Amino acid sequence: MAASGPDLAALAVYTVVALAVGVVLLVASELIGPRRRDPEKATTYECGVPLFDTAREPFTIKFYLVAILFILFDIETVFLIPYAVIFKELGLIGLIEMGAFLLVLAGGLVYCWRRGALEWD
Amino acid sequence: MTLEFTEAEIRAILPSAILFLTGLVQLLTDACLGARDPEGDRGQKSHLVLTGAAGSVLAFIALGALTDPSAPLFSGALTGDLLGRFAAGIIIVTTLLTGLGAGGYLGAIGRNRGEFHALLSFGAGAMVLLAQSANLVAMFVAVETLSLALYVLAGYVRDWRESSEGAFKYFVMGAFSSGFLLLGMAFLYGGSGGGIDLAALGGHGDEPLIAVGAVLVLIGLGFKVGAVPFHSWVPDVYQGTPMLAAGWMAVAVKVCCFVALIRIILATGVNTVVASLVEALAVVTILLGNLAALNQTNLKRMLAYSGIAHTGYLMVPLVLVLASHGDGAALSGSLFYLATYLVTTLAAFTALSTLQQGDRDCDTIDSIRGLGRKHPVVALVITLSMVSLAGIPLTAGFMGKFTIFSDAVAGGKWHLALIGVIGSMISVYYYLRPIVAMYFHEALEETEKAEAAWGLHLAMLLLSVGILYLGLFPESIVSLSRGAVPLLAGH
Repeated sequence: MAASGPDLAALAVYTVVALAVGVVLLVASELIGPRRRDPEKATTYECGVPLFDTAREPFTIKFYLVAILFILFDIETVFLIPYAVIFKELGLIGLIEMGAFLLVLAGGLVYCWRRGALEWD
Repeated sequence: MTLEFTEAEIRAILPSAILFLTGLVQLLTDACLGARDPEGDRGQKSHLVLTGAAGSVLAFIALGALTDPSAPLFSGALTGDLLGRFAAGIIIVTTLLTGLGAGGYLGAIGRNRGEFHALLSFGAGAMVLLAQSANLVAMFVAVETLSLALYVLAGYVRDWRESSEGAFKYFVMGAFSSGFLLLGMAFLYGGSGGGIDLAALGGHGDEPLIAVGAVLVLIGLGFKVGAVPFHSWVPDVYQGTPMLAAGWMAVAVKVCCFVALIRIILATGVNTVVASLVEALAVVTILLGNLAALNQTNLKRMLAYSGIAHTGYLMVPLVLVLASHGDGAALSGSLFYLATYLVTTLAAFTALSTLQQGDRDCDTIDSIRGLGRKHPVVALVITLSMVSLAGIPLTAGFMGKFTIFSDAVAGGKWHLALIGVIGSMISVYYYLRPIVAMYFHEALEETEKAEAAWGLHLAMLLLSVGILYLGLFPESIVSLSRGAVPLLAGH
């Protein structure tokens, strides 16, 4: 693990220079940079479009349910597509394993549906 | 690449697979047919109870069909050894009895929804898996799966303030402790040079990373079993959890997490730091659990602290094993104690579950005053379980404590036996308080009994018989627990 002398010296010089550049730039910008404040600068950046209103509005909890259901079935796709690629290699056992996975997911879907999670109102 | 499962592997996964499938069936049955039930959430939903009972019985039978205890299964992820089977047996019996009572209990508090029954089955499936895990990844997945079921059960009654509070605390503390567990596992993995299987963790001498990992795992699982000083969540969570679910939590979680703890600590080899830490934890847990229970007026909180104290007793055999350089024989004391703890604690929670005040649990000492005259059978079962918890002869609790303390004396750790006896003496005071309130005080508050709950009464009867049977004829379970240990020492 012992490093030779010149390597370490180069690293030290590099560290000092890198630190110095950062510090000097920050300090110089703070000391001599121009300052023009106006209310436009203080607003949220929205790609130059004027803001409608604040983003901190309460919104209905139903969106969370939809988002969670979306993630579940998104994950299903994530597993199913790679499975399609190695479908033949995995053989019967793979089919059984994916069947178990899909059975659980389908069970969840039936549960959500019967409990009314898919209805907006 | 080809995948193939051996017959032994399928047999090993069968108990937990049956439990998971039972949960799925219960969930879907209730979602599809629940709306047709005229009684709604106040009914008994006996079909769900019977489905759960059938699932538990089948899983128990499947447990008996496990073969070849020593061979590694699923590339070392699971084991079919007798320790795992013993623990899984306790978990399945606990789930069976809790599930039997669940219909009547939830109907009485007007919250009988299929999710409760399904969560019991899902949780039990994960617990059985944890009891059988033989590598770190399988353990962590099982711990997280069972925790998910527990968090939801803790917050099951959303409109009880304590229930939401308890669930939130449990969730935050559970996530926190999982962090310790995971970091500990990472250190074990690094220290052993990339070993995931428990069998690969031993034989690394005094590798410090292994010791650090073992200590972190001890902290992580210490949270789950409720050992002092990682116990602060236990009373709050039990207080908010529906009575019957709290009993299931108290027993089943302790069993599977304790078995996982035993497996990891013993697999990492005997380390003096870990050994003295376990000993210190056992002492503090026994004393603090019993002392804190003294002035509780809420029965759930009292039972929570008593459960903490019992965790302390359970750790004594582990100390003995570490002191005798890995001779696992003393662990049979822990296993037998878990069996006695099952019947005793579950009897207390089940008997209390038959009582309600309106839609709420009957969980203060004041609320059971005068019960001896009003509901003599329930009062008798509560008395029996309190006497057994205190460890008075002729009950299961006495045999459990006697085994552990006499093993401690035989193993040269007489001071642990002394502390255990002092703890038990303290505990007599708070276990007698409900008995005095039931028989010698006039009733203060109005309590109703769930008369129609056939399952609760059946479970109560079976558990009472269990307390007396284990107290009078402990030999069969003791020899089972002895048989479960020697194979462990070979790890």
